[in-house]
Amino acid sequence: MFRYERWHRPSRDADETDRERLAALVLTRQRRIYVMLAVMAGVFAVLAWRLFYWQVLERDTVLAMRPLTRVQPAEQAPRGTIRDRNGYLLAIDTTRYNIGVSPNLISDPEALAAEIAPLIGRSEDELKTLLTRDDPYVRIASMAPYTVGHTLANMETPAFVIEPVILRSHPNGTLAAHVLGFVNLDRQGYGLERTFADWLEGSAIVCEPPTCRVVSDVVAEEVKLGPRVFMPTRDGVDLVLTIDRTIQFMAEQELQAAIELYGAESGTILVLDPKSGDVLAMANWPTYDPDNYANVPSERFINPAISEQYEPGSTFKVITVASALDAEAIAPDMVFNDTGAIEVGGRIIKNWDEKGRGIVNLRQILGYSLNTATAWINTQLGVERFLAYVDAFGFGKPTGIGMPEEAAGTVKRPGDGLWHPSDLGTNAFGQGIAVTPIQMVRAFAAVINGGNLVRPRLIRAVVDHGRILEFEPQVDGHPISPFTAHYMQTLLADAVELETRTALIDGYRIGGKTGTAQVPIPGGYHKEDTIASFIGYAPVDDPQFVILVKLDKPKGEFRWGSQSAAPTFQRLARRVLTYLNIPPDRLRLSRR
Amino acid sequence: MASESRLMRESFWRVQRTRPVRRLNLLSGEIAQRALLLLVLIGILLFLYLAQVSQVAITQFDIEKMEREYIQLQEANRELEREIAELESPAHVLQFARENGYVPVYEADYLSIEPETPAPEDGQTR
Repeated sequence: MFRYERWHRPSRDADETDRERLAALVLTRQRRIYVMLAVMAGVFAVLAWRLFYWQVLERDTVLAMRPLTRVQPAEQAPRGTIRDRNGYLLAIDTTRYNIGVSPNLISDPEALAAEIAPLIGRSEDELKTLLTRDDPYVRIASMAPYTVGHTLANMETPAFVIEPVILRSHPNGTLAAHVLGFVNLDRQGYGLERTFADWLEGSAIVCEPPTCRVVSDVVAEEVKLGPRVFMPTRDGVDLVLTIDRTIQFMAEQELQAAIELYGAESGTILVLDPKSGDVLAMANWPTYDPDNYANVPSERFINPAISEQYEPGSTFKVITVASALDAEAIAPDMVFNDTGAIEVGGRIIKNWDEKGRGIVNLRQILGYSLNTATAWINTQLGVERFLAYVDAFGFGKPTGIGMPEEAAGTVKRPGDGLWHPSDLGTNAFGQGIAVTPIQMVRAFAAVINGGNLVRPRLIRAVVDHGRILEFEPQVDGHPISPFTAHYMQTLLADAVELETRTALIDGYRIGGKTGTAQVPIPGGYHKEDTIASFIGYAPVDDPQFVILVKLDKPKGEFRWGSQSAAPTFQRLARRVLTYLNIPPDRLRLSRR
Repeated sequence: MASESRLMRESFWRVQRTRPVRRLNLLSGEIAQRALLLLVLIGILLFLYLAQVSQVAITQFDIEKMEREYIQLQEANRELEREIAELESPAHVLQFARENGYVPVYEADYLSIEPETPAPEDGQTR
């Protein structure tokens, strides 16, 4: 109030001066306001121009930027691929499409129905009915193939709602089905797809040296947040198997042919590289299509090669003889007087034909597959040493092939309530002891590869976003000496040449052993049913592969391993030799 | 009230009684010029910001479009890879071979090629 009074009190002397100052002040203020308004108007004009530019002049450009068709993102990252040892694709994720429409966004249902009817495989009328329905969303195609999904997505029709669905696909059909397996939506499944689900989905660190070797490296992908380190979510890694798809195909072909030819119920063929433990083929019959597993009985998903145990029969004589030779319980030049029967632990053991062959040597014992002689050899070895060798050869525990469903087999021991003194005799020729095919082929490989118990493996390498992680072959022990192994290598070839001529291959020397095991039933053994098997390798001087053929319950005369499994081995081995470019012995050895 | 001058009453800018002339004076001159300049600068910055934002939006559209194309190409690539694998699968090759009259051969003949002995040059004897 005081200031107001003071300021507004007119001064008689300065009245004129104040008037001029005030007028100048008002004029300046007006000018400033105009300038400010002009600036603001300029800014708004520019903005209006930009708006006009994008909304009117560049309308088409803006419209082209957004997708008219609604393609929803896939809910999951693709799983890694699975390839064979040569890089051929065995499993890959593919995209299928669920296609829906919003009928209220369709301006001309008839024209649209006519356009897409041949594409999605529905009649025009049927489609027109769907497109005119009073629903906000109508599904017009489920699991449509890639070409259909992409064609519709590129039609730029706002009515379409395209939902990609990632499916696992096995381009080779049933090939190696038991090895590859599958995973359902609940992450339950079988085979490598289940075992290595974390790797394939990229949700786990693959491995750390020295388990695997980093061949090539890229930038580290670890994320460090304070003290915590984690791996970010990413696409899955690719698995490179030891399986050779061509050998796998041959094995499956020969197995199926053998099943049909010999009237067997089921069977398994394993092909192993005896030096590295690489499983080159793992074939089982009956098999299934992993792309259509929903319609298959679940018991068929089990991989018999690693999960089913059986009594190996005479193929186990190889282990018995090798163990006794290595322990020096018998000498290489030993002889045995075969009377046709021998008593071990209170039980009379006879030969398969219940005949005696008089004085026989090791070559004849294995060649004629004499139960009496091998039972006697085991008595020379003794229970403790025999079981120590059984353990050393890896029986009674999983091989470590890396599949959780692997069975351990059954080895009876004194004091476990199952053991009977006669088991020393029967175990010698593979009765009363249960093994898996993978255990048997691995132990056999150790007998002929210098005595190294290689760990069978299915994964050769992992391709982890530019890094190749190669897994080194692993040796789990040396059950016999290289000297014994070298002797067995020749002995097994002699034995085949003596009696199992059905396994011989022209131009190549091969080694092996037949097996015919009775099928155990409650209270004893089935009188007719057998498991016919053969394990062989080639070439004898430098084994490149070991093949195990196992046929369950072949009919008639084919129930003997020499009549069904051995010829199957012969046919497969001949093809594998050709495929691996292994020249006949005469050419190969003459070059040395 | 009677002390209000005529000029004040008639002026364009109605000066409130409570507003002192000194404060009005503060907005004039150099400070006012700076304030205007600041406003203009803010306007320019706002314009640049808007231009940048719109450019980012456009780029985002482009990126989304390219991502879609990338995903589509990946899907196409996987589909092609699957088709190739299907076509070159042993079962398919065997079927194709049989349809074209080929028969399986299980035995291969190997030829032993001896290394050639170089021929003696003219005028030379061995």
